[in-house]
Amino acid sequence: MAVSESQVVATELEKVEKEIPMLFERDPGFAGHIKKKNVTVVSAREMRAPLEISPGGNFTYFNPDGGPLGRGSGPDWQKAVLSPVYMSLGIEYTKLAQWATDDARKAVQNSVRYLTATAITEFIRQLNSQIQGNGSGQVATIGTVTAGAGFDTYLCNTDGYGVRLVRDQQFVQVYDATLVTLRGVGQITQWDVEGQTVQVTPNIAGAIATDVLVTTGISSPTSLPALFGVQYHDSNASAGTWLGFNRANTPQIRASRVDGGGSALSLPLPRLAMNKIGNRIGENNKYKPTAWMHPCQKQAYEEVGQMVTVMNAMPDDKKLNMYYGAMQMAGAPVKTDFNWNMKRIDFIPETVWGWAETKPIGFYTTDGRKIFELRAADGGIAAAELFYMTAGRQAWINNPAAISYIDNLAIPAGYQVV
Amino acid sequence: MAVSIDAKWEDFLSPQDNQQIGPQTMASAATITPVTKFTRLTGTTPVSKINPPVTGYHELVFVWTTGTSGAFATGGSGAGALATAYTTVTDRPIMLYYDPRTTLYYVQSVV
Repeated sequence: MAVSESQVVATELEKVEKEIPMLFERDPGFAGHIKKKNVTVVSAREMRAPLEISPGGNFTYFNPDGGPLGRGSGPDWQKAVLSPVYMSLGIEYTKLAQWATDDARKAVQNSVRYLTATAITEFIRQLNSQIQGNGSGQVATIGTVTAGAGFDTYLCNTDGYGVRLVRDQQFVQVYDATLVTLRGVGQITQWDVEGQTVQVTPNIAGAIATDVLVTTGISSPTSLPALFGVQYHDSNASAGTWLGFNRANTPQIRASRVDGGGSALSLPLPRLAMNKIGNRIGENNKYKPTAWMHPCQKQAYEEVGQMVTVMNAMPDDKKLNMYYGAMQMAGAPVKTDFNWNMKRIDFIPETVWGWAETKPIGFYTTDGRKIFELRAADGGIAAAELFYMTAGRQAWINNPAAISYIDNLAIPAGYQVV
Repeated sequence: MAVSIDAKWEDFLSPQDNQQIGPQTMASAATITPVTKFTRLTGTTPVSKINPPVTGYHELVFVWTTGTSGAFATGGSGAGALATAYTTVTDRPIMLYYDPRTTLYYVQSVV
């Protein structure tokens, strides 16, 4: 009888492809775009940023024929105050994972070396999620809850972020919509960016639509203990606080808003947003806003451009290209970030945003050690290790009057699960 | 080789910090698998087996939250079966102790 393949299988070689493609992204995005020169080193004490918030001076007509000139006044200086918040990214691996891959003869990639090399880019990616927030640590809004066996599936298709602001294997807290009632903590065990769903293990009792996912390590989200992000600084809210100011009685510190009205982007809206900045800080100001948006709004803008593009018959050697590359919006260069809210466009000058930093992004170290062993229940060493990428910083802007935003825009078809 | 279940032993300690998963609520079933020390159980299905979450001695706390309290029952097989039956009282915590020698859980008090 002929020798079959099953009889020679013991002699066959296996091939492991050396190149390992990444099926997700670690884009630094907006957080990575904030310039290094905008980093202010601070202690754990509250940082104070003086702001000239109103001009003052008493302008009046008077009668020079012996009439009174009245009394005077002057500008008002107030201070914005902020303190760093402390964030960490824990990476953990077992000894076997290390030993099984620590030589080119064993594995195509040294796993521990890879983990330490990518931890900083993953941390910045997480920062780029947090910097979209409003200071509460909220990272997703649940649209639909489906309870499974030992896990919940949350469809997050209402707030314009999908599940972009969370990451696989991250622990999250489930809070009610008011951020008061903690329903439970779970780990993201499946992360579907395209489907805008996450699986959270275990089941979270009482989780309902409109609940929100909040980053762990926060016990009172309403007190805004997290990173102050785009929704915090770039907001015209007249309630709440901004860096120590009461928004209700300090309109100077509110950013300017243009309501998209739930409609698709139209040309007057960006112009209005830019003009609102001019209206606040003058025509000859030093600020050069950049229009930050999700690529879906760039597409919406492109579609407006395509509608008015005139094409003449092209010679045969010209390639057809109906799409635009670089864009400007009412004078502001367009920049995109897939973490940006799909319903917003924010006009932000580069020079306005900065970091107040106590601890730069880097390893958590003690006595020169970066990698720590786990302990077993018996007090001995567990065959696993962990390290942390940490930072102590807060994001802030020095002039909310110099930024504006369009929100409540329609999301072009195909970007949000319906 | 799977990661040892003992890697999660801190989730079955008291006290815990806010980075841990904390108390969980799960539906009662013949076999349950707690993921933390304190678990709320809904429903009235008797529990006859608890998959031990760590290999060594440990203690678990359960609270039945339904209007009609459930029960711990004997009859489970394998590691994590209950040594004695116990009818619980709604919203009253009951502690179970795991003996790895017998692989049984012992209810704190038996009436």
